[in-house]
Amino acid sequence: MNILCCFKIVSDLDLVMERDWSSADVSGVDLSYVKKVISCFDEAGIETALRIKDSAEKQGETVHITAITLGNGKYEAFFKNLFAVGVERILQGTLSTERLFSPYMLSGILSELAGNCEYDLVITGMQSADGANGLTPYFLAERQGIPCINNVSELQYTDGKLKVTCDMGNGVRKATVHTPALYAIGNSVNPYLRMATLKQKLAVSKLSAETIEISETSYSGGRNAELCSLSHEKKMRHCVFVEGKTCGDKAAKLLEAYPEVVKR
Amino acid sequence: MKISVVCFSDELLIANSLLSQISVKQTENSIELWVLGGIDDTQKVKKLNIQKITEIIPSEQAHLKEPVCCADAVYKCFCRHPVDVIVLPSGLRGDDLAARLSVLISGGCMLQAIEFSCDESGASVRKPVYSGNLHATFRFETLPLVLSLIPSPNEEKEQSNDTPELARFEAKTEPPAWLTNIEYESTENGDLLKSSELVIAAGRGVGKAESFRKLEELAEVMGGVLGGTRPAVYDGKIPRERMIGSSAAVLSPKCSIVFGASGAAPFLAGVEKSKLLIAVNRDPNALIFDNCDVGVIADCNEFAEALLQKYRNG
Repeated sequence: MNILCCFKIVSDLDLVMERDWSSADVSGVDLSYVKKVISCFDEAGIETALRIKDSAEKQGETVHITAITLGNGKYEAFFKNLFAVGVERILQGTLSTERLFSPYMLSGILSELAGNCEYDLVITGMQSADGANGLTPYFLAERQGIPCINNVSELQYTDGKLKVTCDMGNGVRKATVHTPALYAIGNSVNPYLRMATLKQKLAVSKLSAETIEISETSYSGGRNAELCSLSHEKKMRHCVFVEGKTCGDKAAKLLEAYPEVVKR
Repeated sequence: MKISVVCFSDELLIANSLLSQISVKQTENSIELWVLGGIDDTQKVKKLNIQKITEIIPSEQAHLKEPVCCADAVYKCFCRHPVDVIVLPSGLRGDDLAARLSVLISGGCMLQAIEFSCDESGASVRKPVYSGNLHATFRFETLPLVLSLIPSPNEEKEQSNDTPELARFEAKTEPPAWLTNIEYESTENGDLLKSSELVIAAGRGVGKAESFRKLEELAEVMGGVLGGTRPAVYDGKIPRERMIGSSAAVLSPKCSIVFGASGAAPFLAGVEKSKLLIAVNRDPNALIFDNCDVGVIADCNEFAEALLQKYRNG
């Protein structure tokens, strides 16, 4: 079985200073100083692939995991870690500029990269925190001609079959899937990528990602929207602190000041 | 400009709120409502500010649970009655349906929008990006467009006295052949969270499991429901269906009391529509205090115990 994982390296947005958000405009926001991380849903996607690999290999089936990503950054540390935990091949598509808000274009580029790989299933995160379009998985599945299963919380390999659990908003759906499909991981039951041991890291020290240049112009236009403005919203709430020497004092004052809402 | 708001039958009031959020700067326009699964209570129809409602009925009632069937049914209705813009209420179900529809009709798409307006030359959509730290405005020159809009419950218009025209569209749907052994399980806790007027939200800063249990007890005595941040859910302290945030439940209760959450933007997106937002945190510099109405600097466990004592003592 061949698994193709799509992942994105993003800035850890929790570390961005308030003044940097305030100075943002349509050209973007300065995130150059911010630590990079694998986008949280993509991280869960890679861990899901690794768990399928663990299960399938226990059942006697060989699994190969290929991971693809886009961007011009030097992400060697991330790549080494992914190789160490069990990803066998990584393709990095280089872009002339970041394409945060063009999901249809991104899906075209990812689809071209996917054309370099054999796969039985594709795993992506449901959306990234920065662009937050949530559409790339659907458009990629459309371009690849395979079904898209979104909001996946768990994907298990049992008796030669893939069993998927999805959040549906008003419940969950469990089903067996019988075809190559794209699984967009949402709030997963296994959200964090496993740690690599030093021994695993040393074993893959000579591996590196393959870099592929992509012609983006072939994917411009179409269903992409034009970004007109990017602005930081001023906070509408002003905090009033409840004073008191003890927690009991503060609790009493809170209930006294807001009886209509708090006291039931 | 023809616009259709699409919702499920249990989302009629939410759809009514969406209708009030749509701004059309054009004289020649029409807005109608498409209800998936039909309307079971005709009294509900009278509360809607709409002139025409189309009930979309799939081949089987069970198909309403399957996103592929729902998208197919709406797509067939769209093919028969084309519109320029389709609007759905944002949420896991609405976002998924919007994306599937945009693929089927080869149209533009935007999920989790907060504002939408259109004129003769196209449509403008505003939505949170960068974990809600920034708002982006996008322009679509080419239609059709499908978007999911986050409902604003405070923007309901006065009710119309007119009874809307009711039409029925029967769509032939088939479940996807590539899925078998399908089981659907409803999660009542998630619904409870969305319908509660008081929400207690717990973050990782609450600490031990026993402190979370205390908050559960507090929520019960206060007549509210306990939810949690993503880290608290991933630590196993709160059930997954009670996760609050931009990628989970987006709430608009009368009051939210947030215990031990730093105030990261994705979580705040889930509680920022609360009428009153109270934060409890031992760190006076916690970001949550920049985004709430009332702040309590205290240990979460001790303050929860103090509140419980007040309730126990009447």
